[in-house]
Amino acid sequence: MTGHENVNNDRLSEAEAYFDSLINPNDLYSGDKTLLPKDLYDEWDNLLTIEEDYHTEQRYYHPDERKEYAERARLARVNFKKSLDSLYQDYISSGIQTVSANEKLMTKSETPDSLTLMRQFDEMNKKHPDAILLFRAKDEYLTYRQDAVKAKQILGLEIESIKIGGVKTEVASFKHNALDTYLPRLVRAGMRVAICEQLEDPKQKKTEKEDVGKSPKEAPHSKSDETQLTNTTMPRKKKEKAPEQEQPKVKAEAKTEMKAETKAEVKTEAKAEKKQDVKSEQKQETQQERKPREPQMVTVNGDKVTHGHAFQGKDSQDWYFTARLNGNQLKPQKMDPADLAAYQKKEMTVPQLMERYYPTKLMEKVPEVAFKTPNVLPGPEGNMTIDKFNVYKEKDQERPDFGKYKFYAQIGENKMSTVASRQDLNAYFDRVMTPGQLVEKNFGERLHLSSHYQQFRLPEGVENEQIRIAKDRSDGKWKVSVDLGERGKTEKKELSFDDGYSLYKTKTATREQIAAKYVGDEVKSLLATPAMKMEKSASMKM
Amino acid sequence: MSKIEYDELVQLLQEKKIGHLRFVLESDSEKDFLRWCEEHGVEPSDDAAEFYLEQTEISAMDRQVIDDEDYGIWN
Repeated sequence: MTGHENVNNDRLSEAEAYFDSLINPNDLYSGDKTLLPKDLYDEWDNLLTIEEDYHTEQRYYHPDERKEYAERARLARVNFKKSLDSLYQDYISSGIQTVSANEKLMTKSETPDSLTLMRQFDEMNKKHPDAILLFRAKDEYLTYRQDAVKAKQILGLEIESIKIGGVKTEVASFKHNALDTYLPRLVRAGMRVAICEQLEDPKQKKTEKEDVGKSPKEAPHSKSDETQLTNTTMPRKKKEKAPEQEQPKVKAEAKTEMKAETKAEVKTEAKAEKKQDVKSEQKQETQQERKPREPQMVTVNGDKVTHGHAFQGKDSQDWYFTARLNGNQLKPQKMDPADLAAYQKKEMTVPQLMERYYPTKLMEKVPEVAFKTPNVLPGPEGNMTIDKFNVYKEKDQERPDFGKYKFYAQIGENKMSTVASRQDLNAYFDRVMTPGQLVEKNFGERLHLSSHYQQFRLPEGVENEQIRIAKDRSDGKWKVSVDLGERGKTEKKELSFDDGYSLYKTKTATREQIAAKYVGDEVKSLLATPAMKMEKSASMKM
Repeated sequence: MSKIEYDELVQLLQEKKIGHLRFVLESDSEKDFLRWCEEHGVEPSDDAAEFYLEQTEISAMDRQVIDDEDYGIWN
């Protein structure tokens, strides 16, 4: 079995658990989201975050931003629905579903004691006339009459009209595990919500674990109420599974009847049972393996990182890493095979991969004002103002740098451009370096800035007299080299016009800095080599 | 004015019937792009739009792959 098949099986098993939990079979959204596959759960989590942000903080936003947030929330909802639909299609086409949602709805029992609950509802309604009352009964929450109508309007629940005590009463219900979904929606709609849970009576708990008492306030009401509620247990997931496990058996029997072969019927039943056992185990394993989710990654700028994952290109062997920043998909980055292996073994985490593939997204942004006010640099002959700085792609096909992104800077009459590194482009895009810093880094030599040369330093132990900068008689070009005596000489490297200008004209560069810029690495290796030789000879003597 | 569909925009851009600036301004990224320009103190231009797209745009193939249910997830 390939890795992909494993992933698919896990997904379908999780999908099954989710679709089993649907409250309304016509609403794929009405299931227990905690049972969703990880990516969909994250999407839902993200959707909630976006919706919460929109609802709770919208008063702080500018109207334009509010619109943006509303649109973002709308898109997130649409995308989540799409993802759910897609998951449902996969689930249906896989053929592993044990029971259709409609069948489940048919088998769903009526509440055992509607009359009692209605009485409680009336009492509570008098106490809290302005609140929607949600009554917990078995594994559902029920709401009645005008509250049911409100619930229908806000939550889109279906209303049933049933006779309770001879009176036609509107009832809306949803499964208990959907409370986390529906409660915030009611609150956001401006409703006050009172939840009436049935609490366990400690005395009964000892003797009859399945009996459920009432809240201390309600307990003195009547003994008969208590008795009637005795069997209104709150089934846990494991208990809920028992009747469900019968369903595939029924389904399998129906199939074999069509074939009208007794042997085949037995075989199919056995197969279905076996399959169901395996699925139940898988389901339990999946639920056991579900670990508490890691805290959400938030950058120093307050941006939320979600959906960090690796994926393989459709028509290639390459793998990519991507994530979302505040819900926006980041451009996928091709992964290094070593990183991929480490990620697959869970030796590398999403934050580490973010650090590696999107470093500038995690860095602190410089204030916007740094881009809006003129950037001033200390130049060789006084301050220089950057009049213009931007990025463009070279369009001239005759040029060797055709198609490359370049920085363009205009400083007074000095107009210049240079090919930009990926690192600097990202830093510019993500606003973690100012135009001033980028000009200093990319045009420092051309502008003869002393700050450009400060980055070059020779290793200790090199004397000024050992540096030679002179015109080469053979070709008339200015060259630099370092003579380290017994340790050898570096090559002679030709100086650029601007470096020569900085050294002799503006005097913003020193001989040491020029030597370090051109032959610094060679000097380091020459200094290292003889030292090693000396150590070796010393040890041989011993 | 209603927005042009994304696929149509891609085709128009590929056929060089529209430039990068028009492409971005007609897409869902319009506001984000304009905000980026404002933050960076640059005028919305074809060069800026091209760079913005280079940094943000997920190619059609990647789009397809990311939306694909089969992509590997270990996170």
